[in-house]
Amino acid sequence: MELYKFSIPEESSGVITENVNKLRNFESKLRKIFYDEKYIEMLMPTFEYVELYKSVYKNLDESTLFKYINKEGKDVALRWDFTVPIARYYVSQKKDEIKRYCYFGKVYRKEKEHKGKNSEIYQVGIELIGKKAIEGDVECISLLQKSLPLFGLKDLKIELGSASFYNRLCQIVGSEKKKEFSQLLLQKNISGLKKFCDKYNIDKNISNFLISLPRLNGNIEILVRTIEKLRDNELKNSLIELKELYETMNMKQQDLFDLACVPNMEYYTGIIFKVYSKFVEEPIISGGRYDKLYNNFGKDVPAIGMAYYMDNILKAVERAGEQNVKDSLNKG
Amino acid sequence: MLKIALTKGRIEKKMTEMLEKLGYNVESMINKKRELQINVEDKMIIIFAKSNDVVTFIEHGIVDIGIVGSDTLLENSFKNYYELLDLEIGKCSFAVCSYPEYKNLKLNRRKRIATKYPSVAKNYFESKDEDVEIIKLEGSVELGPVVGLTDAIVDIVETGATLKANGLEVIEKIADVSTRLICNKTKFKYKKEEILNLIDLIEKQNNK
Repeated sequence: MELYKFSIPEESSGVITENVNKLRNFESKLRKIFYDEKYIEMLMPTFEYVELYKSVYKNLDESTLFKYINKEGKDVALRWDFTVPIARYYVSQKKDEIKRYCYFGKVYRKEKEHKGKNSEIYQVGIELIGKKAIEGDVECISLLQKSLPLFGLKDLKIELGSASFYNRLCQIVGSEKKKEFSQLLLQKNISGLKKFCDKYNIDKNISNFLISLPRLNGNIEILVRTIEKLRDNELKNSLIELKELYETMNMKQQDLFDLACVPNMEYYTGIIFKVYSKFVEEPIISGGRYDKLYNNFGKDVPAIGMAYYMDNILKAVERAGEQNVKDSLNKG
Repeated sequence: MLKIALTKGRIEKKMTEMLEKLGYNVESMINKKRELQINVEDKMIIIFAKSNDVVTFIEHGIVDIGIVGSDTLLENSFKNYYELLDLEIGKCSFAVCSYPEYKNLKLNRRKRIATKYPSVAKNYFESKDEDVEIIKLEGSVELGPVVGLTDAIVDIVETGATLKANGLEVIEKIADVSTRLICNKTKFKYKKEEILNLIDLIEKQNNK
């Protein structure tokens, strides 16, 4: 069979040649920042039981896993994320101490074919385990802020959301409607939220606020205005927490708040953040607090973590470079 | 400047009318001939594409906004966009259609269904506790029952004229369909004002 001697499987991300030095350079600078703050690097296994992921991600789309049946007759998958295996490792160590871990490696998630998407995703990340909100959040965000300049990207935006704000919203709406509501909120579906409020006859004051949520995605002014208007103490406090974090961290005017933020993982409990570059269509970094994740392993430990999507970062850097060349040609 | 991907054909026509009502000069849209990309008053660049390609362009952040039917969104596996608005245009519905005698059809085999929307069709029959064989057709799906390939079809129905002309009718409605305004998530972060301005305009017009 001489067929397919030159093509690579649809799942492969392709050979990287041009930007390898750039990638290694980012990697080593990130490693230095993490090591300086006493983060221990971990090399995690490539194969994990599917059960492990299913026990944590109740709504896991199994079609995204690369899996096979091993000798034990068990479903095994290529590593789908780092956070869950690291949580398992921490609990198995049976020590109640603050731990700082970092990792550099690929996760494998099946994507649709012929859509220009990669199924090998290179992630660099940290896990800060055993440190509670505010203190832990500040440590994580300051690490993030320290690392951002090294990519040389302008116009980056950090966006903050709050899982406790979201959870309170769901409580107000009613747990039986949570799924429907979350889907609409996630898609910032203004018309959908209107119909939702009409359908369930939701009180005018509440429904006006719910319908306005998709528009409440902007800078600190939006946050301050919303805090002033809110009557519900729990909602108010969760936003005040964000505001305090913003102030403590000296965040910038261009940074954002997303009040329609829906946690993309079920285990998020506190702040959720993403970093955007205008040059790529997806976030380049994302993270958040997950104080309930460790419950899955029978332990009550607060934790926060973040992951850098290196492929997206490289893409952004490449495109920003192209844009610079274009701009300077236009000027010249 | 907003970049918009607009679904060619029926939705394009309705959207052009809507933009005109909103006060845009849509001459360049009407006189575009074979151009695939045009400029409207230096306020928007509009790209004309097939419905699923609109979603692909949104996925890759090639455009800020996509104008596309909810039928396409329901079938497409990519969901990571903001679906900001129901434009309330291009309204039609998903339906099971066949010959009138389909209702009393008793078969000893799986029903065969022709459709352009396999996952919508599968989910619908699953919700009815039924297992069917789905055959994907790309063109006039009505041909399925007409040539005797399938027992029925799942398709969008607007006026029902094609059905009637071929002796077919709506057996059961599955869901309403209308045109939606979707948006790439990252683009929303960088062009929020522009995007929300357009949305305010449309909402005001629709509430008149």
